Amino acid sequence: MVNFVEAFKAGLNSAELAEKRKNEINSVFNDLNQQLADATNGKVFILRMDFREEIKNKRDLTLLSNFLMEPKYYSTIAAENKAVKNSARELARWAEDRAGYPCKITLDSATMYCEDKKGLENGLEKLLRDPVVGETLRKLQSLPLPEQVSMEATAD
Amino acid sequence: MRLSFVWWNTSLSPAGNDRATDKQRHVVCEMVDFILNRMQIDFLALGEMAERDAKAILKTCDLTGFDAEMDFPKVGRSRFDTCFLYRREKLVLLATHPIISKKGNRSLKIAQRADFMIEGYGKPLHIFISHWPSLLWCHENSADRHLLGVRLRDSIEDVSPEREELANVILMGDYNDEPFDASLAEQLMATRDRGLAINKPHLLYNPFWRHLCCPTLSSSDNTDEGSGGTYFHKSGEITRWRTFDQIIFSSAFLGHGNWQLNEELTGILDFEGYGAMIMDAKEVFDHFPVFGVIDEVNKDG
Repeated sequence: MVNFVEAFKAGLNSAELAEKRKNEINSVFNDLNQQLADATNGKVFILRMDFREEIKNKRDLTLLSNFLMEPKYYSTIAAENKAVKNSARELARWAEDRAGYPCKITLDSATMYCEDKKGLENGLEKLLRDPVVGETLRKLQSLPLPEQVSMEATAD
Repeated sequence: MRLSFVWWNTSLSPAGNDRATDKQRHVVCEMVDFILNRMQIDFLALGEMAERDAKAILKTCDLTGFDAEMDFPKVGRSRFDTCFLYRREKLVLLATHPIISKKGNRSLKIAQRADFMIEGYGKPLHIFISHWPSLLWCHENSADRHLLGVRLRDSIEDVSPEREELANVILMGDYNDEPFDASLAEQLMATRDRGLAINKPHLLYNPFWRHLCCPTLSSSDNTDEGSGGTYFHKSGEITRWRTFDQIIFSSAFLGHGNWQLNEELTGILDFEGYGAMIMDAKEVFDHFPVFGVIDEVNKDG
């Protein structure tokens, strides 16, 4: 007979390990954001969020099929300017194993499997060094604050 | 239509470190020229290459009708040392994807994926080119050798949208592991059992199981010096020959699609005089090229 109790116990252990790894992954992102906050006066924040897949050829879709189609989402590492609403921009695709590691970062065309904490730190370091990511972060950092925008509008 | 593939570890610049003489580079250029223009090969992937070697090929060889992808993406302190040339009349390159695994402070180069469309066909062809670390840098019992196989398998499944059935995938390279090693046989699931691969399309078929030893029988005068693999290391204590260079096919090429593996035209390329160079310790060369062919299936029977 299958030993279900043993399997149950193994599942509990796996869940505990997965939770520990996910906390570790969160701590890497927290460290990253702490350092970025210091460097950008709290403007740039890195987050993991889902974006909706864009329909590439909208002309092929009837209104009905557009209505009926289930929206598809994909996970990303994104960045936002905390002071500006809806400013989040995708930096790279992101996937995380059910057990935490490996995490997969797809930056432009390159795929990086991050097998542990150090691997994830190195992967995120490579992400930040990318010229396109750098440009996105620079733009986010220099976005005008909402009150600046309204002041400029009044001055006109 | 027929599509032919060659993988060759040129031994010129291991891990991108330039070490070859101009004369040795000239030998490689002559062989590349022969492979592309005399043998009419459609896809040639090269290993242990660096920018200087690539420039020599671009300058010296007749590359009429070929396109070259000779970027060597940086990985940590190292670089990918693989590149490829392909016949543009038959193959349309869609994209290339370096795949790496970061573990601790190490970066493992899993493969370079090249996505092609074959002229006249709707389904893409994915080619994974690998040069895995040598046993010197990654011990035969290292967990990293398993990881290389696991992540290469993951990357293949990523391009295979249908569950339990792999896409049109061809893998080639110098794995520094042989067909029977766990990284390839177990983790990658590259089997010797063709019948099983036909019935279980999630398996890959590795025709290089058949090239593990000398193809000729022993002779009565015992003077045989034939090769017994693709890689020669003179100081080998149990064997001097290993089959590290392989071309592996998804089961899509075993009767599940428009293309069929031609196993008669799959094997080790032995050029006259080159075997002697491989066994000459003064030369840098230590790998034979390997080749594989797929043929279009005649739909009318």
